[in-house]
Amino acid sequence: MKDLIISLSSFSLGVFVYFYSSNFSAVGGGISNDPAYYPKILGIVMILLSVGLFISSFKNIRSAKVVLNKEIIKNMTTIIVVLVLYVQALVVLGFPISTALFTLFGIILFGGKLSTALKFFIPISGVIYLLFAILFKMPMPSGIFW
Amino acid sequence: MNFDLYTAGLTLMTAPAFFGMIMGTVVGIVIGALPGLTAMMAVSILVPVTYSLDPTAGVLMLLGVYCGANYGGSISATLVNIPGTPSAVMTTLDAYPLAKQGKAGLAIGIATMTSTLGGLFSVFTLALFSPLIASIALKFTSLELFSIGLFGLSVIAYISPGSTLKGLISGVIGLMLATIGSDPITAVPRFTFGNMNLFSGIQFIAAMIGLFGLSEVLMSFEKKSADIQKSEFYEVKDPFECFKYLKEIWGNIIRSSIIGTIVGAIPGAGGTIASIVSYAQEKKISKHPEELGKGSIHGITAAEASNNACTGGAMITLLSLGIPGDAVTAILIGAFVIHGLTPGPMLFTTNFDLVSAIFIGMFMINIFILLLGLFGAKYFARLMLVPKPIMNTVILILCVVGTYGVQNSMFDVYTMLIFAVLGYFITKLSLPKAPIVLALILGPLMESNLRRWIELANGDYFGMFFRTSLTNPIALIILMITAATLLLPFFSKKGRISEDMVGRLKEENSNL
Repeated sequence: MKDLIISLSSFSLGVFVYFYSSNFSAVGGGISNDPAYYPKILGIVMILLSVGLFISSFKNIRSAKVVLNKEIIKNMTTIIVVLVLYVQALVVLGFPISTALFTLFGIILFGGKLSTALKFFIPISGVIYLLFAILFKMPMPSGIFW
Repeated sequence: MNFDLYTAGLTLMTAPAFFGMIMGTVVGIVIGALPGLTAMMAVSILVPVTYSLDPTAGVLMLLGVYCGANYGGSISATLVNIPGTPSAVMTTLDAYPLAKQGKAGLAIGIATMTSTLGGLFSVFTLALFSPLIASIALKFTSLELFSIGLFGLSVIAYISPGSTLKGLISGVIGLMLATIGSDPITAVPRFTFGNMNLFSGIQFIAAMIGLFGLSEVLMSFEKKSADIQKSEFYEVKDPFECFKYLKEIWGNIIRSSIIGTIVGAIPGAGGTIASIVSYAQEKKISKHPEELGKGSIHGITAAEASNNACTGGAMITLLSLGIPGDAVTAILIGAFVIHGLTPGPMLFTTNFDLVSAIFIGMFMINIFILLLGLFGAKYFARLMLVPKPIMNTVILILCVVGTYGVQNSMFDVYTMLIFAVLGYFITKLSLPKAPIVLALILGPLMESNLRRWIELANGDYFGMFFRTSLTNPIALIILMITAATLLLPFFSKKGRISEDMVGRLKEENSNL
């Protein structure tokens, strides 16, 4: 099942890359000046490999299934949404505030207790800020409030 | 032989360089000891941190992380039977059973001592051979450089778990991703979809952090494994007992170090394969193979000496050819580039003193590993008690911090998120990720050299290839080895040398 999904996806990718590359105009003559040449080769190689995998996937017809039940999809979606919100919050609230809030919710999201999250969210975000912004002088996202 | 190469670096051994080395080694051992965290993750996240350090301190810090993590995996492998890093998987076969016999200290001591000696052996090999290889590589033409890149991808596809086909698919995905951005010869934008941020291509560090940092956290979130409890640990007592056994295992150390250095030097092959090959070799020639898998110090020696010897081997290829020896050194190339350095044979002339500092630094890092391991292993082990919710949250934040720190770009952070989701699905589909890393680095090199060679051939491809091969057969030999690597799985009854061999070796141990 996994091999089948990989072979179909990579076949589609190979076809897309091959045909989309036709949009890249050559500058001057010759293969070396053709920006589409190399991506087209990759597209063809990908198509051939995916056909090979497709054929071999029938030999392992009982190959492992992809485990993606409702709970997993829900958990993954939740964490991706929280991450995107954190990244958006960085540009609005700035690093220290958004990171403190993310630490608080993140610990709970990953299965920690509320008491643990409340105990550690400020020290953790504080240490990270001190370490990277002050000690290593790394640039941190700044927002409207920081 | 120019002995200045071995002393010129002393001038760069400043306080920041020492600080970088020690800190990097400590961080590396910690990362290695914590299951779920890998050297790739740590190096990716710390590359932007090196901005604030001078190039020597930055590079040595990352090398400390690399070498430290390769060793650190043996700590959790010994104490809780979970390899801290993939390269420690063979260590679990004997270190944990030895710990169960009440000899966790001896197991840690053997792992520490043999890791150090393996690492030192590879550093000496690096110092001896890399200048020689670099002088030969200066004469390489476009065809040789393209061939070496292709060889590297074929090796990593061959050794990847699953099948060579899946490894190759993964590699081609990486090569395709490497074409995003401006064409290296004509500057025509490719696959940018009108987005200005993609004109210079995908930010490599953002992609790596997403693929190896964030996606691993997503996987561990899905698995929801329980926190490690203190009662699951074996107590570490008297690791210094290991020195009594040095005479008994010195032959094994040398053999495993040679295997590790050679495997490390092969582009694409890393510590995991080195330890598998070395362990399998020990099984073949051991006078007591029935003891392997039951707490044999020879098993620990074979695994640890080889996986740490890999580090010097991988650096041989990186420094002298500019091609990564494994996935971690692929990320190290990013660090070099950030500091305006170009790994490859020219580095020996343009940054002679830095190369020397790398030799000296890696020697010292292995000594730090010995000291930190013997005196500090039991304290590093306690970090495994940090609850996973806290650990995962901190890693997520570090991923964002590290990505943003590269070029102050929120677009890079979004790139990281996309690669994290991609990495998650790639892992779910059991497609290997390491070929993608290597291909992202090798892709531009391969394309520009291939097109350059095609330009020179001027339509007479076969003729030029055969004429060149008559006078300089290096490319022909490399391409023949590449073809053999790819075709061998179809003809060999023994099966591939890959990470899938671990299960087979475990089964053989239990049957003896």
